[in-house]
Amino acid sequence: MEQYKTMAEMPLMHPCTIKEINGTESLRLMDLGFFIGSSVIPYYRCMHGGTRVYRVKGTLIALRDKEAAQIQAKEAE
Amino acid sequence: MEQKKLRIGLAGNPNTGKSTVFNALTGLKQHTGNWSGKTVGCAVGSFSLEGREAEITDLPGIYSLFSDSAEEQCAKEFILYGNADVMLVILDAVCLERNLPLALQTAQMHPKTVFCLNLMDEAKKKGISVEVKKLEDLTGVPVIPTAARDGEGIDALKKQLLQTAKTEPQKRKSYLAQDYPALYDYMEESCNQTDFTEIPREIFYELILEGNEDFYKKSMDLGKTETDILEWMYRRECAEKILAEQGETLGGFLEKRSLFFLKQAEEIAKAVCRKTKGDRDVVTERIDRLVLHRKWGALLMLALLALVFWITIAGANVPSDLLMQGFQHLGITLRQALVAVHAPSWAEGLLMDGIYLTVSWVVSVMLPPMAIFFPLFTLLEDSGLLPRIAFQLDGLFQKAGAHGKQALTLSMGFGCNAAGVTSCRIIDSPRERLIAILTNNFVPCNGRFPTIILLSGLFLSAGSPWLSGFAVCIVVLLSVGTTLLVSAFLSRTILKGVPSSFVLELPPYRKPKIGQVLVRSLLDRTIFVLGRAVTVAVPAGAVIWLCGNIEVGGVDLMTHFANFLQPLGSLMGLSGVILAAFLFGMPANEIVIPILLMLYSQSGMLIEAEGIVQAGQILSANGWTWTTAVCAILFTLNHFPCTTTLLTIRKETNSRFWTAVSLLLPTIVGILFCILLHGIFVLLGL
Repeated sequence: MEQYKTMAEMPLMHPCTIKEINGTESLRLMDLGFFIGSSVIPYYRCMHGGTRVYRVKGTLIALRDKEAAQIQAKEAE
Repeated sequence: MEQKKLRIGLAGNPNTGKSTVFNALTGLKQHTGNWSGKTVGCAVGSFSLEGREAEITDLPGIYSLFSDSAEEQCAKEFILYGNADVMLVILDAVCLERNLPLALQTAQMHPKTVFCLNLMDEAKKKGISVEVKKLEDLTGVPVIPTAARDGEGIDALKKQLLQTAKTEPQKRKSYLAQDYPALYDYMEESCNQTDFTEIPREIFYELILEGNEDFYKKSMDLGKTETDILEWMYRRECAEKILAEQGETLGGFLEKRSLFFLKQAEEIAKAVCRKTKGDRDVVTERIDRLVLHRKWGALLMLALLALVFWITIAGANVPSDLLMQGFQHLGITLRQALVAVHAPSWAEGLLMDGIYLTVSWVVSVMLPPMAIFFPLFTLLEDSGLLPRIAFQLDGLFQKAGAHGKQALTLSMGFGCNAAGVTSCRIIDSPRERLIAILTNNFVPCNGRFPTIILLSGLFLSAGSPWLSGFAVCIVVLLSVGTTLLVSAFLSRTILKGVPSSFVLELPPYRKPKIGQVLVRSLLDRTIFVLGRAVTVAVPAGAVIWLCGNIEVGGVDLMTHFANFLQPLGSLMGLSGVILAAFLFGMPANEIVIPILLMLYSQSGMLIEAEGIVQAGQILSANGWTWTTAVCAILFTLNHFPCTTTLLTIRKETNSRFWTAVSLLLPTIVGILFCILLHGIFVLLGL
């Protein structure tokens, strides 16, 4: 099986595609636009780290790394 | 026959202009900020629909009805049991795909739904067009395009609401019935048809499958028995078995249901939206490159904050002097009138030296800074900067073991701590909510800001408003720092636990409507705060005059009281009189300085007042130096909450213990800070 990285580890400013979502928050993440097949760009990291802004479905959403780690993604070619 | 009141529910994602539509419909100026989670609880407004009275409830901004946050439960309960005649869902024309899932879910739960396609003006600017007719066909729901900020389309929307209310309810096939016919049939057969008549049956089945505790509780409220609930739980277990036979789980079913709406939204949005430019918001991206920058962002925010305070401090002096002069002229006339009617001297003292003087201090010293500061703050709020500040600060909040949304409730506290405490409802986890409530008072509110700005301007400016603006900035940073420290302390001691999840939407920058900002901040905030201050100042002025004039053992009551507080006051670098003023100011913090000026005037230092500059002279004449001012600012920042905030905390926590903690915690912190700082001043010989 192909190895994916978690969304929290994806490099900033590089578009990626969501491949898998695990964990307890999956329904809530889905509602925010993070579901399999969604294209996401990690944009910025906050001042002291631990939270990043993602551009997903036309909106900027801030997520803590703990939640972002539940999303597996792959860098878009 | 009088027609029944028309009930309308207003739903939508955060930042879709929901509150703006609400205002456009009702004319009621509900405060609309450009950030998520503003509507806590539900605002209700009413308006007339072709002669028929309509009542509209503004539900919290949410993304879906399927995950269990407090806001979602509140909205869901209203849609299902709120007896709404029509549900109005706001869609953002700029990002339709993101908004459609909630809209489609609502339409399935409520048989009479109208979509309002808002922000058409913004969409047009961004080169996005939406085919309204096609959207109606694909969703089966009437769609009205609007640009609510300019009032466009509101009349058409009103007509549609009325028309939909009159038409037959639209029955829509539920997801369960569409995609899980076997499971649906099982539920049809096993559930008693009279089980639950309050909501559509298909939806009832899905609620059983969700097995949500809130649903059980609500059902018990509606008269269902424990036996019913146990029966439903049993059905759920059976359903789980049926799904297992197909190699599925209940969790999987719920996830697929969410995906179904997401995919449907994706398809519909693709079919009806045309983009002539790229969908990126170039302006927002450019500003964000600076604001969200890891290093420059913080500097920029600080500079902006300094600018706001500089404008406030530099601009407040002249109008303040003019106001005070006006009050003096009026005062002379009033005194003459009292003399003319032969009023006794005690009455003249009580009315003029007590009540009138306090009120004129309150208005002339507090109104100008408020009238400048509040519109500026509202501009920051409306532009979309606040959530970005919250985002930048989240790293620190995370380290403090606090919820990310606390940055938002804290911002709300800068407006009013009572409102800040209420807004803590947006935090789901009880532990983090309590931390947010207990620490909200550590940031200065509307009532305390003018005091801080005034004292900085008087004692810390050295003739330059820039310097005092800088000082106020430091005060703000200090307040956020204290909040974080106390939160960290609480989350590591009496309120231990793991931080829960945090999600925040950063809205696109919007050009604030200057006229609206002015009207709203002047009417909603300035007049409100001033009104409250004056209401409290009248009795306070009377009580202070009485305390200053009723003697016990040859010494007036006020001196007794001040003498009693003197040891603690001097230890804190303040005085007994200053502490007395803080205690008298408990009903409304904005009157602390006016009370202080009154107290000084009472003690024989009667100086004809001439606004802010004169206020400084009175304070200096009574021994104030810059070190006193620093200690006073520190105590303004950290002391007991005002009575309104305390009552709100009592209501929100429903606990005397936590209310007492919220009273003592900032007071103790303030006293300790002041004693420590005063000690340092003494050691340094300042």
